[in-house]
Amino acid sequence: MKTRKIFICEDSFEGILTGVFEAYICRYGHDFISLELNGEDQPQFFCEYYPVETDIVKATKVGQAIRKKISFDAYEMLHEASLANQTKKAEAIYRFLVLGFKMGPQVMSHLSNPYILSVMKLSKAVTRELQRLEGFVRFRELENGIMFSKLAPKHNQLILLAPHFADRFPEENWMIYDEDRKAACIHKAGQGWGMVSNIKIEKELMSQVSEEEELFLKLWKSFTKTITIEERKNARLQMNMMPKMYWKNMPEVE
Amino acid sequence: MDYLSEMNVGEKLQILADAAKYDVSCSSSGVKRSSGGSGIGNATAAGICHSFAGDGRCISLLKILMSNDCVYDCKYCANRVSNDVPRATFTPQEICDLTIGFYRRNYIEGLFLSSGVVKNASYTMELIYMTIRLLREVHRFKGYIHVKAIPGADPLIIEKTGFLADRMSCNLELPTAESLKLLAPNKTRQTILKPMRQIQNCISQSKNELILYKHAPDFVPAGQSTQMIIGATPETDYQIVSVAESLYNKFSLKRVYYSAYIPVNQDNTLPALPLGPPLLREHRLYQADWLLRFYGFNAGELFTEKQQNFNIFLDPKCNWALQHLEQFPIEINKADYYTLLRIPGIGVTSAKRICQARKFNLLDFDDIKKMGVVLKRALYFITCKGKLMYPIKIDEDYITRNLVDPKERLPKGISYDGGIYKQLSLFDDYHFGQDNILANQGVI
Repeated sequence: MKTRKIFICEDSFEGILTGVFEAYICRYGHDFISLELNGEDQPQFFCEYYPVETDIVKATKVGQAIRKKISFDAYEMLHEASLANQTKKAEAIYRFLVLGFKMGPQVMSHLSNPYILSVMKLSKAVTRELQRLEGFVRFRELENGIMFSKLAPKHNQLILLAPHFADRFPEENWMIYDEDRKAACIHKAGQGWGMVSNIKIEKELMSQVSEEEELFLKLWKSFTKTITIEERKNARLQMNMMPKMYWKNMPEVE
Repeated sequence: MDYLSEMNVGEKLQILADAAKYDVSCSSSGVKRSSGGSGIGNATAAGICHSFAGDGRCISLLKILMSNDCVYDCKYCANRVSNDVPRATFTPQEICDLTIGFYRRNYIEGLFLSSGVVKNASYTMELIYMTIRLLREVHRFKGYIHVKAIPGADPLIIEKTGFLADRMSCNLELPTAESLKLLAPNKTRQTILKPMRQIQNCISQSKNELILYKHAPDFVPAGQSTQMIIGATPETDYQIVSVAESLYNKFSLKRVYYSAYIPVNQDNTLPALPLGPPLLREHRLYQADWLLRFYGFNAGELFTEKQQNFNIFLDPKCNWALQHLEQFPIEINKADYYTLLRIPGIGVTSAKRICQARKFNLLDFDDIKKMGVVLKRALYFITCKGKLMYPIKIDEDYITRNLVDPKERLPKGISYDGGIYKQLSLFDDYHFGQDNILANQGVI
């Protein structure tokens, strides 16, 4: 009986792909290897732990292989799954790839395999929240004309959210701030967008809004109130469609 | 009219949003467009819901009337000329400022612009056209726009509007021509169907041109929709579903919306609804509508000669399945896609997943459960590898007892107490719109 090797990787798409690279390159046998995220599980006996340092070159190689040997859809799905706020995702992605590199593009429909299914579920969870957030993001205009938005999403979404808003508001300066992860994506009018991590934005800075802002906020609140048909009142349905965790960043239901 | 000009935008918004709230359509789907790096706005194919009102309906578009200063006298409408309500009219500029201001803050996905008839139909349509032209050409707005085609307006203006809007709709108002005559004296079925036909023709023409020329202008790319009021007039569900079916087939509509009648006016031609608007009936109609559009059913299948209305306790698909038990159980590993769609509890997503997954191995109940297929209703109608999930008998009464969904909001005063289906035949002809009559007779 061989001892189990466990690769510990960083919680990012690149980190997990590097882990997959190391797992393949050590030629120890997939049955005796697992991937784990940093601090995901209690250390177990009779296992050897190897920390994996994220390496963009290695990750890119795996990324290319996925697109070439499986499909671009699979690559996108794995990327989404890697952003999910759930444990065991590294292992699921690793098992997906072990099977995927054997089977090719068909692997995507092999839904009775538990790992394929769980990768699909992870990616569904992320995209479902993404679709919601595309609607629930609220910008406010700051004094300096920047459109600012504060979020606290469940999954690490910003990188998926940015392209949508970059296309929607190409001529605006805007910024979306993830309160929990202390990250932001920033867009400059007429130019591209970029991600910034480890920033903290002071509350005061957020509350310096432009003159017009108050007016539109008032109009919006009155509009959402007026549009409700009293005879059809259904608070449960409202809450199902718009879970309470998002309410604190939405002015109309605050 | 002088004081109107002093009214501020906030007050106008309140009046004109209040007047527009009974329009059901709120989808922002059906068109995919990028901003192309200039102007403001884009559109996504699936549409985006931005908020949800207290009644649980989504708020996706800034839904307002251009004006509620209407010259028509439709009996069911709050803005009819004989009602004494505050009147307001937006200027095109005000609507543009509101739309852009809301859109920039990501409050909305676009504009839904309807209107009462000011002066006459063509004049109103012209106002709508001017507004969306300003929005598209001066403000370079590329988000979603849904406008109403006003029946009786000059076809030329309707055509010009169609090239700027994403979706147009023309409300049928009531399911039959007779009801329309009774409740909306200024409208006729013909004037409503005429613009609908015109829009249909323009859409198909524009599609043909797009095949030939890549940059041909797109006419109403997200298609057209319509809306009917349910429960104000005595039509049966069968009549309503048949009307919807023929609209889909003959006018190639994208959507038909149903709106449970809410009494806003007192009139002796209108029913009083002491038990509230017929929400469950509306829900059943939407369920049937989905069956027509995505499940390959047709209207005739859902009803029988005896049963012209929906069963209040069961959704239309369950109801259909129970009357066709000879076709069940269906083997999950063998049935084709369209047969799978006929199983209660299995929808488009589940059917597709089953079709994909069974290519690799024979599926068992555990497998399909893990895939996310909900077995609550389906388990009575399917076999996996030739076996039922539990040793149950395929029997109408037995299955009905287990299928009634206690979570559905039944009309007040009616509850399902576990009695068998045969006892319910009392309610088979139960007409949702006539709650009050039944109440008088002491049935409820």
